[in-house]
Amino acid sequence: MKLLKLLMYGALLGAVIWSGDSTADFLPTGADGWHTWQVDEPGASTEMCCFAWKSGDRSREGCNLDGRSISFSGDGVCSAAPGTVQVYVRLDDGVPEDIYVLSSNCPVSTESAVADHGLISGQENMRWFRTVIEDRDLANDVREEALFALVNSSSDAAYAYLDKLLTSR
Amino acid sequence: MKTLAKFILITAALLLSTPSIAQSDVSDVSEELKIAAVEALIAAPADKALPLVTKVLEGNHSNEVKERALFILSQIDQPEAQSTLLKVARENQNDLGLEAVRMIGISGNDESLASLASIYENGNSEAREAVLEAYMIAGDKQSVFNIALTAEGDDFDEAIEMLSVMGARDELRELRGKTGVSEALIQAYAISGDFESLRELALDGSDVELQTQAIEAMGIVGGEQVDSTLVEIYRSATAEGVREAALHGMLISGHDAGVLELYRSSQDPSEKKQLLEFLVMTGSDEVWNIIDSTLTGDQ
Repeated sequence: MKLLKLLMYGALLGAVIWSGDSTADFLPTGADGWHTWQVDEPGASTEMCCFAWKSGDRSREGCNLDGRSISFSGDGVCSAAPGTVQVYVRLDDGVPEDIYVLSSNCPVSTESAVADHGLISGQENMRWFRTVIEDRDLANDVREEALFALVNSSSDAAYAYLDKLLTSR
Repeated sequence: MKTLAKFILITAALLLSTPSIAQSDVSDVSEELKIAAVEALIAAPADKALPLVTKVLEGNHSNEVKERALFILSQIDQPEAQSTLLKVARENQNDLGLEAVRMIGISGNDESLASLASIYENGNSEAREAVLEAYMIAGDKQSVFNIALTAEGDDFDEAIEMLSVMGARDELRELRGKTGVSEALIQAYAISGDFESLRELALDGSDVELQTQAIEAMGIVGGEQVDSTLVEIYRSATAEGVREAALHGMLISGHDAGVLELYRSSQDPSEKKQLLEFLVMTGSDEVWNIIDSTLTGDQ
């Protein structure tokens, strides 16, 4: 009986500590619309931003999240100045529909509200991406978008994860 | 105290037994996810992507996954990427090796493209075809021309067919002087849209067989110049085979107006009959007007 109590306490404590890393902490279930967070990971930076294509000329431009399609660039010509990694996610019925990784220096506009979750640890960010990428119930294009966004985050953790994914059997 | 120690131990054991998300195994290792992961590396800087795609190529993956890795390599502008592509192309006498050859074409790297010449020389027919495709993708007309200069039989035909697809008119014209005229070369002129070369051959009666082939091939090029030349060739021809070739050319180019013009100007009943047959083949609406006129005795 004593042992059972101990096990229960232990499990309870473990669950409390574990829930500290849960993605639900910063991205509540059912919170539809745009969400953004900055990834707190030293060394990870990106120039990712958007450009406009007019009459064959590319021009520097920020990203309009309400646009039909977003033309990305990370080639340093028309991208934003290097900045920390800023993730943008649009949830619909609690399911991610759009996932972008942009430079924190990239100007972003949208008519709808964006819930800013501030600075999120690299580990928490990685955990969120993994739940999307490995969720077989999600549409393939969303999972692919998450993979693409993860690569754009240029973090060591992202490449370590890809390495693991590609060497898993 | 003892109880507290146990409590801490059990708690620690529980926590340790729960793997952290960063270290835990990937729950989905499907082929689709691996393909998507490799494709996502297109957005990665070369120094990050290169070790991963190299590992994929060396690992126990399906050809489909490895082919995606080859594409990523083709987009990495670094000598290591090119040497890996060449290594895969040389060491794999299978679909993967052929794909590596094509990816060298996509990369457009001059040095690697030059190295494909030895793969062409030593490879089987599939490898030779893949090398030609790589040159086509890279737009390397000179290398295909060099192959055509020494190739024979089917290899020669395939090389000049590739040149025609590439629109390499100058190279094909130069080949005529070096290898002579052949049916394959005439077809290549047609595909590359070289009206001038075909016209020259179509008016050269020294070899009637090649002449008729050139006349018919003009129909593939099409256009006003071709149409008027075919009518002109028909009118001035003395050989029946040449006239018939001109009609075939008009049929191919869809020049029913020309056949109709010839029909109306002809006074020879047997010729009119033949021209009418061609008009029927073209599906021209004018045929019904001609039939009506013939029945009412207007023509």
